Amino acid sequence: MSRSRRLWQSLDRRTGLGTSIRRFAAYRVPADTGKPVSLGAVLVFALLLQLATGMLLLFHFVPDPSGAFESVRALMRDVPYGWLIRLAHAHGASFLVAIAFVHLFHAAFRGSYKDPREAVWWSGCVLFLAILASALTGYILPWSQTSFWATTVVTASLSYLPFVGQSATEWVRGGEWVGDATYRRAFAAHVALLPLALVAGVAVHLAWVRRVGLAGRPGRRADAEGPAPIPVWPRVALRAALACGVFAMALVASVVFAPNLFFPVEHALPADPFDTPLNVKPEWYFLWAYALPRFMPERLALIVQAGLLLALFALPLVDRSPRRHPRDRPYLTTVLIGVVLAFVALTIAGARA
Amino acid sequence: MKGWLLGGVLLVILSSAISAIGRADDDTCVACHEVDIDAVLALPVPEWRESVHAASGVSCDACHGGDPRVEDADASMSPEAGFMDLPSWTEMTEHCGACHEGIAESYRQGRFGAALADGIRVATCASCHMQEGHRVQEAQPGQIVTSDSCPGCPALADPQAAVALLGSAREARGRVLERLAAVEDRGIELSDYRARLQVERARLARAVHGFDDGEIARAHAASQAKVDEIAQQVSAYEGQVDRRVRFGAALLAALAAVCVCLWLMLRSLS
Ligand code: HEC
Ligand code: HEC
Ligand code: HEC
Ligand code: HEC
Repeated sequence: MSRSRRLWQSLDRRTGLGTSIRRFAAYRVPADTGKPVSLGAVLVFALLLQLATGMLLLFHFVPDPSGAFESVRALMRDVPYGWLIRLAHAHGASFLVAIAFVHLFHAAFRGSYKDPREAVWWSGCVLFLAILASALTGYILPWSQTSFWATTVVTASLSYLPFVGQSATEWVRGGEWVGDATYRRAFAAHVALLPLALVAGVAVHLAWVRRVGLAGRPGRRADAEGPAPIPVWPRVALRAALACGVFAMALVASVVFAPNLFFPVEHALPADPFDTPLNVKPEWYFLWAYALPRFMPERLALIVQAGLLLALFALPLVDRSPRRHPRDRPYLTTVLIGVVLAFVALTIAGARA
Repeated sequence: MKGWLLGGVLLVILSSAISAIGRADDDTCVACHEVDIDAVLALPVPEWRESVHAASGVSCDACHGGDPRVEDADASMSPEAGFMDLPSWTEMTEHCGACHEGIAESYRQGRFGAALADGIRVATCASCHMQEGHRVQEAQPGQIVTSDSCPGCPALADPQAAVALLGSAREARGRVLERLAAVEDRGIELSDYRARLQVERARLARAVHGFDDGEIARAHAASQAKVDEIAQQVSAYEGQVDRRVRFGAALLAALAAVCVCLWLMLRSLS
């Protein structure tokens, strides 16, 4: 026995590392898992990338309104490869949100939330919200014009809440105006609270997936048997690695060749409380909500948003038949397609407005 | 259940918040003057809409005073609400100088200011910048000569030379701005350099409003040196973006190679 092999075995004996890897490699999943893409695997990869780049950013970033913008500028200009880390983190956030959207709708279309996978679905919904919250709080940190004004408007809208409005605004802002206290809240949430929640949430999500198994492609009839399950290694693992590779290529391409893709012009200007930009637009994934009140009364828009959120969580409770194939539940499929189309249309309307 | 509810409430709040972004308030000065009254009084509105002032959010009341939230004409344009009479030519420096302090300062200290103090009628801010009424545009070098209104300008010995100097300074800044924009397009934010160019423009403009040939030439030389310095720093960033693209292309190629390998391995399985 070679020396490295002996070393590996002694390590395995103490840590169980090799055993876990072997067990994972032999874990059986539906044969079509990862076809055409392994969205879940890409999400985990993207999330790890956010954690890694985020931690690297912290080595240079000055988390304070007085120094944040300057430090991001220094990262982008002077710190070796700082631009790569910062842009990968900022663009990565948009990619992460986009893939999370697709992952969520994919699961909805496939009916992957049905018995016994309700808990998996719900944990996924919570993760989805945590991702959105991370993106939103992260947007504040460079303390640019868009950071400042988007935060001002977002927190101001809390005051529309019945009864508690004004105090809620001040509670979130940590004072009457958006300022240092608001910034610190966003920072704490973004680098401690939310990452912890995300890591724990992903662990729970995956543990539950493992427990109940992947849903796989739905058969045309409820009792239809798919092809026999296959082990994770090699096919599924390779598919996942390939998907992650393609994702990395897309990210690098956008970072290098379209560095301003996700940034409005005002994001390149330091925050100035005395200079309101003409048009503060949210990032693309909130454009739909920005456009909604243009087509309906304000209150109705609010109700629609609340309804969507409720529907997201209530889905497994509403649609309880065991049939998963989209064509076996035409009403729900139609509604889902409608939601996707409306999302796309509203996003375009918001971008044009 | 509580956690989800809380998350839900938060998402609704977030998205409704975002939808509230970007809504302009109504301005009664604009609304009333635009439609109701006679042609002369309504004219300022369309002119003003095309001005730099409108673009920067400087509205009627910022110059004329008054209360733009009140609908009634008398109340809106009452002295109690701060409404002021139209500025006479002697008051114009103070009128515009309320915001353009530096310019007004050098105007006052310059030749025109001295003449104005002696009661001689000279070109004021509005003579040069409001020739098209409220359509105040970005200042142009040619505006230094108002030959029609002021034949034989008392201030400048060689107005054409001053126009040429201002023109060349503008071109030099324009060239740097273009390169700067190209670098920003490629991902390096340079708003501080943009601001420095603006400072150079303002420095020169202050000298212009003293209306003295020698001062203008000196200010031009000084600002030119600074602009050259900025141009040099911008070219360093141009080199940097080129290196980034080369690095990115290499990284992409490496990743593509990995992907192809993975794909071949997958294919060999079947
Ligand atoms: C309800 C209609 C109305 C509103 C609101 C209104 N104006 Fe007027 N404005 C008039 C009319 C009518 C006149 C001409 C009669 C007069 O001088 O009172 C006038 C005249 C003027 C003049 C010329 C005065 C002069 O001495 O020749 C100025 C300048 C002016 N308005 C500015 C403003 C500003 C600034 C506001 C907002 C704070 C405003 N107006 C709001 C109707 C209005
Ligand atoms: C940058 C400052 C400024 C702004 C902004 C401005 N004005 Fe004026 N306005 C003036 C000055 C200066 C005059 C006097 C012009 C002159 O004497 O040549 C004037 C003159 C007027 C007059 C007298 C009629 C005329 O054309 O001479 C009216 C009416 C008027 N303004 C209305 C308005 C209204 C309405 C708005 C908003 C849409 C507005 N102004 C915005 C500076 C301003
Ligand atoms: C004789 C004509 C003339 C008069 C009078 C005049 N200006 Fe100017 N103004 C100019 C010229 C020419 C420029 C410079 C254009 C350039 O930058 O090439 C200029 C530039 C400016 C600028 C742009 C400066 C910057 O920061 O870039 C402002 C603002 C301005 N003037 C305001 C005023 C004010 C306020 C007054 C009255 C106190 C006034 N001007 C009087 C001709 C005039
Ligand atoms: C309430 C403040 C305010 C007043 C009063 C005001 N301006 Fe302005 N002006 C601005 C702002 C803000 C800008 C746009 C930002 C800038 O370029 O400095 C501007 C821009 C300008 C410009 C273009 C500057 C450039 O970059 O070329 C000129 C010319 C100008 N103003 C002339 C005038 C004149 C003439 C008056 C008096 C009739 C006047 N302004 C009164 C605020 C004001």
